[in-house]
Amino acid sequence: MKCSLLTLSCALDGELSRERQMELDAHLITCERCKTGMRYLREETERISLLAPVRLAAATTTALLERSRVLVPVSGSTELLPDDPSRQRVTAPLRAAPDPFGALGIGAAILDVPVPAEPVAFMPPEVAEGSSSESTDEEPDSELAHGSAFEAEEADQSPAAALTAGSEAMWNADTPEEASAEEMSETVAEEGQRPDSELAPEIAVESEGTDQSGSDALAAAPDAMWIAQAPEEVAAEDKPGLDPKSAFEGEEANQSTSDALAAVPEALWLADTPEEAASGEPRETRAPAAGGASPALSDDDISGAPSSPTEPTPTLNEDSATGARPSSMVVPGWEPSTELKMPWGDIPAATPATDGWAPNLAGIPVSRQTPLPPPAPFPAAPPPTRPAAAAVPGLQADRKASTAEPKVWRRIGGGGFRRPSPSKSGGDGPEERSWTRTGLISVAAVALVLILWNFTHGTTPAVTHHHAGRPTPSASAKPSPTAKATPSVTPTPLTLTGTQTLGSSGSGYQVQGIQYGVHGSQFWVVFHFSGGSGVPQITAGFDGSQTIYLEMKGVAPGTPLPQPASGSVVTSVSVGHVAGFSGAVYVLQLSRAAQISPSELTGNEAGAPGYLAIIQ
Amino acid sequence: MNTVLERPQIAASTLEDLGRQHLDALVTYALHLTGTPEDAVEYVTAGLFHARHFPAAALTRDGRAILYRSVTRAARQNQHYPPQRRGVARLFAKRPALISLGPAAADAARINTAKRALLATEFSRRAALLLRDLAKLSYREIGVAMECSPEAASRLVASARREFGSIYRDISI
Repeated sequence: MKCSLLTLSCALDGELSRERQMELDAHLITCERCKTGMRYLREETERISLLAPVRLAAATTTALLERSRVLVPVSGSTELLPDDPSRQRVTAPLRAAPDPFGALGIGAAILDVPVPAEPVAFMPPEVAEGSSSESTDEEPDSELAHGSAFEAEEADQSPAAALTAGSEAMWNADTPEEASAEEMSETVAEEGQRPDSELAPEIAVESEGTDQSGSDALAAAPDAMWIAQAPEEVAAEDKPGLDPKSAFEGEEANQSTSDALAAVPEALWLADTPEEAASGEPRETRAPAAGGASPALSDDDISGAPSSPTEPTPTLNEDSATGARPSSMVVPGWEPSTELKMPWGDIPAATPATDGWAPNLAGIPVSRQTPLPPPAPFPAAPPPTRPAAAAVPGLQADRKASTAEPKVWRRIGGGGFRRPSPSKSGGDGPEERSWTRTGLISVAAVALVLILWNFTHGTTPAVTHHHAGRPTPSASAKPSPTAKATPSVTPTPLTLTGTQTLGSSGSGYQVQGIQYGVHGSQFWVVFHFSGGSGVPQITAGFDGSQTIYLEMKGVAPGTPLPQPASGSVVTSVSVGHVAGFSGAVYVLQLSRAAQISPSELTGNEAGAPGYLAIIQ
Repeated sequence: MNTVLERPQIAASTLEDLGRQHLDALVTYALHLTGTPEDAVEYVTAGLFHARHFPAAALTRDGRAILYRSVTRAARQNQHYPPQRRGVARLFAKRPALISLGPAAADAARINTAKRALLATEFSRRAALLLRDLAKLSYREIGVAMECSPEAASRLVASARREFGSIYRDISI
């Protein structure tokens, strides 16, 4: 008895066969591990089953059924319920929507115009009778989209189911790595050993979709297969003709580029002329659809061997071997009307040209199959210079004629419209982005932002006295009242009046002390210096009428700063560095307007060199 | 000329009867599958709408499983109903008012430990677990609903129980 989580789970659900169930019952008597596992599984089952149910009211049930179109109004309900606008619209006849932006676009959204239903070519009488509500469906395209989305998931089912299927090995494994490895191998082995007859039809579809690519599986799974429940139904619904619309729905759901290429009918690759390609008429070389099936879905599509247009080489080689079939070769980068008509045997080997994109076409006769396009309504842009084209005489004329085609506004991916401009490669390929133009626009935008930011946030650099030329105290200018408040820190330019300068080039002095004295009507302020040599240059000036600035060049301020006695004409003395001045600056605040008479003190007179300021 | 197969016409009474019979269970399943009543209503509506594509014979045979299959598909692909328009048009589209479940779904919408653990499991396993333990579907019906074989359904249910149990124990601790 191999006990596993799968076995226990199946036993819990009563899905084991009778023999297996008896074996498991016997095993559970002795195996504690399986007992524990069974108990855990029961607990988890109870937790899920105890989730609260939802009891809907009758009105809600009816509303849900009506919303999902399960309940539809019968014909004649308009007369019965004339005031109900929704029911009026259901039975209202459809009209063509002025939809300039495509089906179900903004126009239809704004105008709330219902989109006309898909034309149905075949409709049995019983369907026609009962299709009054169906044909007047509000959103037939949306229904189509839903159906395609449903069908699109067919290809996605098999990997998820395969990955989530096997977990039996997980139960027996000791490590996660071992569990995953065993699970995968066991899953693959079991899937491979199972006969096909035991597989459900959905699994058959999924396994087929696994072998193919996702897009091929989508294209191969018609609507009938999606809704069929048995292989007989699939076969029965495939025989009368596959549904090309469902195949295209699958392609719409999976919007990769490869799918778009795969959707190109074979006629486009085998047609001689664009007219043939547009008509899509089957050619003599084209294999007829098996069993008279729809031309949109061939046997290759069903069997998983896509007739991929990316690999046209085998077909071309086969045709070139016969040498009888005329070919149609569209030079890449040129207009579709420019074709080279020649037998396959005359086509030279594809050698790289000088510009690397076009084959060497020298000597190949060129003929135009389609008439020239109408003249351009406005002057066309000059054709780009092409060396390979210049080598072929006929191509230049074709190029000139093609450039005279009227400009066509084509729709681009984002829904906007852009006038096609000649790309650098000169071809009809995707339009190249002008990185130079984009870069210039970006730089200009950044510059504009910077300029605006400078206007809004930036300030003119402050011109201080330090950098813009220091005004000397002798210069006459109007005084700045801001400097006297905090002369040591305020960088306000300061100009003094009534300046008097003494000394010239002394340096190395330091103020040792300040003395105050009253001599009659005069108030003396004596600064005693120490050290130094020469006579320091001291400038005295007024800032206003009651503030005296003493700028002492070559003199360092002293730490003791005695204040004059109260009642003096000098109320306070402060020292510091003032913007625009060099050296120590003493600021004398006066109680009244006064005059100053400075004088130098020599060492012989005062015992030490100093400075005398007589204020009177 | 393109020939288009006609849509399979089903007896309206069959689907209506099925819908009325299983709508409570469908809404309960969708609510625990998605976690929100609004999404549950939309997915159930979309599922019922798509169930119209099934032939009457299939509905008669596996009606309940087909309904669950449609709802599971709608929830897996996040299909709103009515479908949301694409592009700029969605800004101007008029969406009908949501059908409110009201107090009927209040208890079911309440989050508890079991539901938190359930919402943390992988979608397919969550769906399989709910189909088995809540909706009481057999493995064959789960295979129809999950679009796999009954054997794969059994493995899916077993792995779902294992994952749910481990998450629940982690959360409860």
